[in-house]
Amino acid sequence: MNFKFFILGGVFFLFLAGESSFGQAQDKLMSLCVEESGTNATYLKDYVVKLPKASTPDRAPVAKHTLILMKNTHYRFTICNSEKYPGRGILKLYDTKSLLGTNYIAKTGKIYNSIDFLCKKTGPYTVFISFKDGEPGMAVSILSFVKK
Amino acid sequence: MKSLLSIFFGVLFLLTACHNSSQKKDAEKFEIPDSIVNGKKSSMLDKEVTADIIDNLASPVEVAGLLDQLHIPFSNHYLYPVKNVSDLNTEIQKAYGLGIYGADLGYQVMYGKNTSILDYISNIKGLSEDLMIGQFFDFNTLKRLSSSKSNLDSLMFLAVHSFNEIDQYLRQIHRGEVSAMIISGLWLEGMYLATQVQKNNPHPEIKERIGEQKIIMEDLFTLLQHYRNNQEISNLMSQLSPLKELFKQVSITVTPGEPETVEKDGRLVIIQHEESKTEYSDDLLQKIIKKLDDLRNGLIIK
Repeated sequence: MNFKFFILGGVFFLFLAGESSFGQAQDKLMSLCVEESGTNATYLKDYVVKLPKASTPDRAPVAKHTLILMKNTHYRFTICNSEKYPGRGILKLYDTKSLLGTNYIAKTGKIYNSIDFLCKKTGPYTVFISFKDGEPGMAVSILSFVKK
Repeated sequence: MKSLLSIFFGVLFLLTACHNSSQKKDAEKFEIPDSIVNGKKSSMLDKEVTADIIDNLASPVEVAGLLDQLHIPFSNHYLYPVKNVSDLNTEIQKAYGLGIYGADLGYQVMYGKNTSILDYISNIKGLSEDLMIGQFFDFNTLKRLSSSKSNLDSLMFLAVHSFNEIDQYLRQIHRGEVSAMIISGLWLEGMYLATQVQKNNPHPEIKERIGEQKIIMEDLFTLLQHYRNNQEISNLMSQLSPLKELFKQVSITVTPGEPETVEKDGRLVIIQHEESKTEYSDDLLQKIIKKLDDLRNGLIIK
């Protein structure tokens, strides 16, 4: 609880500093997303994604981010969507060869707010973020480290 | 609580900034990303590739978390002396020092040691102002937060976030070499701390994490290579080269396995079954420890 309070306070101070490139809406979305990550999660990095509507439904615009993840570490990717846009964020995690998982279960149509990743291999990974059905959208994704 | 504090180690986090730089707004099929299919890094180090490399340089937050979990005791003997800031004269040296003091601040915060934090914040303030990036830190707030152990979580969040923004800003205004040097300082100091811990409190997991830095080192070199025309960066690369040669002897193998997705407590969990294993001799470990000790204490960029 304390952690949440101070993190939210931290975001607030960032806002006060006025030098951040994040807008007010993004700050708000980020503070919500940090909270959504959970009290046992330590913020590592954030990705702000804003994408236009797809020209055709099967060619959704996509944001790509690369990162190195470490073995024996529990990570959490949390994704929070701006209510100002219709798009619902879909996050896909790849290693250098293939898809490891996504927050979107095509069979049921359910989109989870987060995915946890129990990493067993140190190395490069790629995160792709798109919006369902190619809708325009804005989202903040927080990568956290989860205490064992 | 303590492990939450480990986040600041992630000042090394410059690494992690640049969230938007690799966004692709062109339409492309989400299901089959070409970069994954090809799985190769372009040999041409253009702007976007540079950004990718920086993002790829993992932060040692996870390593800090490991130290915390292993209950490794804190030692202020590992810290780079506060007074040495006066030896940093050029922009490149100051950027490098900013990384070093950032890592040391993170180490202290991770362990909830706030007695010397103000000195480190003060050095970070001075260096960042000299580098004209002081506007990204709210030092009054950082100072206030450092006064109480219960506020260290937010101190780290603020600082990490600020470092992320600095990295993005520096690259936007074509001062990428400054960013690269901050990252180098963060990485080297993080490695120094890890190797000193291993020297005094040996543990197989720490040894493995040190060996895994082979991956980071290669990326770091690729990044520095981009700025090799800068004499100070070129000198740093020369000094790091023997360390890189040592890391070449570290063997990293991967045992294949298919990932599994399960739902647990309402959260989706991906369990990776492909596993990496890092192997190298104790003799090589001692050489790496010694080399890092020499590099860091020889400091370095003249």
